[in-house]
Amino acid sequence: MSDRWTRWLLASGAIRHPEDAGSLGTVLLSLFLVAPAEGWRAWGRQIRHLFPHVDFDRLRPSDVLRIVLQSLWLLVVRLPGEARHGPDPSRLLRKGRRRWGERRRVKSAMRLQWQRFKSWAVRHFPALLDRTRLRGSVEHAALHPFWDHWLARYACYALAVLLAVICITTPFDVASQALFVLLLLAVALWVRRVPGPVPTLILVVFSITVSTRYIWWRATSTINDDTLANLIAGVVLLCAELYAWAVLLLGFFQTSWMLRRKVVTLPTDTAQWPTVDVFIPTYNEPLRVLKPTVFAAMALDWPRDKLRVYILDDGSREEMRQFAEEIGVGYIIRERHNHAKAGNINHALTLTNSEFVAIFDCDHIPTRSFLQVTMGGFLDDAKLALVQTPHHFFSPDPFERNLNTFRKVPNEGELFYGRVQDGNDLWNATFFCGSCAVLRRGPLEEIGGIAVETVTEDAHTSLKLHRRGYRSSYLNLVQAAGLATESLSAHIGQRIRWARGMTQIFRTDNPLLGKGLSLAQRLCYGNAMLHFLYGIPRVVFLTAPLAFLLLHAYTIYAPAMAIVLYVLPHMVFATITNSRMHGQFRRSYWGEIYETVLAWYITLPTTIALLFPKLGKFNVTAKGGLVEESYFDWGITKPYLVLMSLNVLGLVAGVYRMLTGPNDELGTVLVNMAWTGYNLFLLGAALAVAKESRQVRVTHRVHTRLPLTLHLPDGKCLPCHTVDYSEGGMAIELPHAVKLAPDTPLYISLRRSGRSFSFPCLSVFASADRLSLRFAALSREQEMDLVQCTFGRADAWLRDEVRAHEQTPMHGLRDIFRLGRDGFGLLITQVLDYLDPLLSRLARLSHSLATLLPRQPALPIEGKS
Amino acid sequence: MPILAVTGAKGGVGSTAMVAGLAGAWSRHGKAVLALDLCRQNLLRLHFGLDWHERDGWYARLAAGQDWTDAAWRTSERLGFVPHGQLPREWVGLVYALDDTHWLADELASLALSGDCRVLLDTPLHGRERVQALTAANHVLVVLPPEPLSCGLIEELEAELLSYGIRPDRLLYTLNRFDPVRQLDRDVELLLREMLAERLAPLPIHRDEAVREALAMRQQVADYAPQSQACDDYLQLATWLSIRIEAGAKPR
Repeated sequence: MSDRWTRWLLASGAIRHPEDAGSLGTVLLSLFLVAPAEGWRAWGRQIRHLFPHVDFDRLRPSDVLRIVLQSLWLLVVRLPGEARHGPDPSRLLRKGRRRWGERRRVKSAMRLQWQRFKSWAVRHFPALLDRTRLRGSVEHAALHPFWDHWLARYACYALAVLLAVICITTPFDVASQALFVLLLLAVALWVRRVPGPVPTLILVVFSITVSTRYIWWRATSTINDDTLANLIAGVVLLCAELYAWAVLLLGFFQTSWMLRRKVVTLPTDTAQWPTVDVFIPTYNEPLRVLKPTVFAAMALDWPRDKLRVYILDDGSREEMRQFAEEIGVGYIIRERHNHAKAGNINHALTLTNSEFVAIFDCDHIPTRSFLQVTMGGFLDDAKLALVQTPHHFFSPDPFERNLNTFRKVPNEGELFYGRVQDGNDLWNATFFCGSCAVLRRGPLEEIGGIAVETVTEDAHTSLKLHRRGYRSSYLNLVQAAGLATESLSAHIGQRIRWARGMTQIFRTDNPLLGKGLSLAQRLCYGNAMLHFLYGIPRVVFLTAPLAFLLLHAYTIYAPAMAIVLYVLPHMVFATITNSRMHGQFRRSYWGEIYETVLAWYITLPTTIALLFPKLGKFNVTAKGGLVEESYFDWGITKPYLVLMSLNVLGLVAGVYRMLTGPNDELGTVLVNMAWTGYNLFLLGAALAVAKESRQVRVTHRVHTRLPLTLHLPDGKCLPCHTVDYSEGGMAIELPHAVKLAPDTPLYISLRRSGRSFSFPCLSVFASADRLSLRFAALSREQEMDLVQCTFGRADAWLRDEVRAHEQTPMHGLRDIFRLGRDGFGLLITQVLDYLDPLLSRLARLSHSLATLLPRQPALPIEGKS
Repeated sequence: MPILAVTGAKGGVGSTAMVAGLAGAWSRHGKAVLALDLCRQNLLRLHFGLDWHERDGWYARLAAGQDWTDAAWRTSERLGFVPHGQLPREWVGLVYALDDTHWLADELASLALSGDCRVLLDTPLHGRERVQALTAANHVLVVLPPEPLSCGLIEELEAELLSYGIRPDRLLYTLNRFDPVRQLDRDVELLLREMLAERLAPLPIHRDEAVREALAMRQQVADYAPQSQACDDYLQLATWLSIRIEAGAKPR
């Protein structure tokens, strides 16, 4: 009946779009109001975005108020982008448009003149303006053998050093300094727009110049020695700045040029492929975490008789032994549990004998292509002892989870795996990272197995290999993925271990000293270790302005204007350059958030390790757990609350000083207050991280589009794609709606290497274009197949590797302010909650009242809606 | 001009539906297609929406001494098909034109179809029509059921097809009515892939109720259930065949 009814309604003119015939409401609406041509439903979908705070699928009573308020508000404001449509009554805007039009006319006239001049010049001086000829002659000059002569080369170096010394040490007055940095900035902003690695190097040179000039100025003309307290405060701050400067320079060195190593293909004759042992060390992780890793390791594309998988169980658990026996992989335990993971692997080395050892943490699931991608290099280069691939995480780390930035903002590790390791690789200084790597057995046994002296056995092992003259390489291809740490405290625990271990190596086997390393390797290792000493400097930066605001100590003895003219360029150039180099892997200023959160906790362990390197034990990083309730980790935030109150106090003192202090101090007070304000936002962001968000899924879902076939109970099959998957279930995108009662038994099938694999499931929930499934009682073999069809696919993480470069560093700054503000909001509600239930109820009431307020709609971008 | 004979490894494995599905998929890919029903049962017409009582076809025309091309139908701009047509039982064998094994090959050549038009022949298992089809064809697609006997049938079938002078790399195979939920189907695919390697289509056609329902409705699968797995599979198979045909067009 519905077809005829629709046709009748359309013919009679009652409705204007067939979609509206579906419900009585829209038909009635059409009877009484003039319907839009696209129909009420489409119109409704279009105007939804005008009410961003109303969920039209789940209307609540209060939404009536929201809609009314928002409609009133929409009547009086102009939407962004609206001016483009239709006539525009606003005079102001029309005036602006006219002016813009005039400017355009002037511009085009100028362009015409320029064109004329150009054609005149080309006619009269053809040799000077022929681009290809010019470029050719420049290249010819650059490639002239003259430059290869040692004299020319060293003369250039000497000239560069002389220039640098002049630029860094010449004292300027305020005006000259301003002119100098503005000129550099103008060139930098222009160079920044040119793609390629050479402009990056130019920016690096600028940044080094400006920062070194700043440090020189700080060291030579701003130390205040009128009282001992001032001197100490000034020197402490200077030391912190010297540290930051050294790390900046070393970082530039380390990441100045990416090697971007390519995969070396293996010979077609598999008889030449070497034997490989896969070690999966575990200690206390549950079987469900270990299972997928073992299944995927068994399915690595490698000749069956040349691949052996071993579970190294330091927990000696019966459950594990049974599992290993059932699926037929090696199972190794030991009696003495010394030296944690390193000892575990070393013990296994004595019981196995393949030429190569691949190591995976028990939660790092390898893709099937792992060995094919990594092993080629070993056959080409007999001195190659290590191939490392990135660690990739398919679950959010605590930062990503608590700040809700998963897959939106690069996480803490991406800078290291995306850029630093690739830069290290140029200098043959790729570190071993403990997992997702292949080692050659010979060299490994030569250095006595995995290093056991420190708690970061991985970096120390590669250091020892490098000292023996072996090479390492890094392949920036995600070939395994795992779980990120589950809670902030666990995350901090892991970072403490890294920081402590690296400091231990720095003390016991300092890469800057000893034999066997090249200068570049020393610098790369040195920076990796120095980097972890950021604890104290960061705390110094977070408290430095308080020295003046609270204690009136002049830590930087210089006029406010000079400080601004030296500090700001130092920061601006470092930011521009780092954004250009790392923008893909680390948003600007996010490093400060990561450091601020961790600074307090790694300060003590690194200091102790620096003084007593032999202390300390290995702690296992907990993974694969749940956070059942959202909670605020007060314990972790305590030091930040203290720092925060000090900074707030500093701001109050600053206001007091502004009102009562001498006039010539005003600039200094303002500079210090601005610094304090920035610190407060950083601390606020650190607080926001401590708010642990709920994490309810036992298994993490991986968002990927995989093709699959859905087999319905009526014998029909649908080609679908996954939305996400985990070991327990799947959400799939349907081509059309399917009616399914909950718990309907179904099958899905996936293809892998020319074969199909099917899995029984039960429907959980079906909507118009989505279906959620959970797997029903998979057999061991099916579990294995499932892992191999999903996590183990060679292209499983390919899409995750595509990362956008950040647009401008300003976005990062905005993030800091947003997160800092959120942190304060959290803190205030928590404190109110704690003080008085009534107050907190008032706060909540005001918050819910605030949700009624109208807000700016987010208009879809034209052409994309 | 690529002429593809589609034949089952045995009877009732869905080769007629395969011809209809491929014809639809190729025409959706923008290729001109002519599908010819050479099976006496005359069933291809149902896939293209003809009435059960429609008895006209090339065979009937030939028997009546008329021009057989008048029996052709055009279902869309690019897709034409010719039903077999039905004759009383006693008339069978009276069409003497078929005694010349090259009759079909000559007729197709004289049609002056454009060079990239593809001809699909729904080939029976026996009889003069089979000889005609395999003599005219330059490619063969064998439809295999997902059963172990497929592996056994291949050897003899291949010897027969080679005897018609068809190049071995143009003997192609596909699995039909494949149900990955069943262990046997999966095992058979594994075996066949080992035996046939590149010549087995990379994706099988799934056993999908939509194919049967489409025939019951006398529609093509692509029209009846455009979002079904079977429709998708036909498209994938058509793409693979296009690639094989274009690669095979180069002389060796």
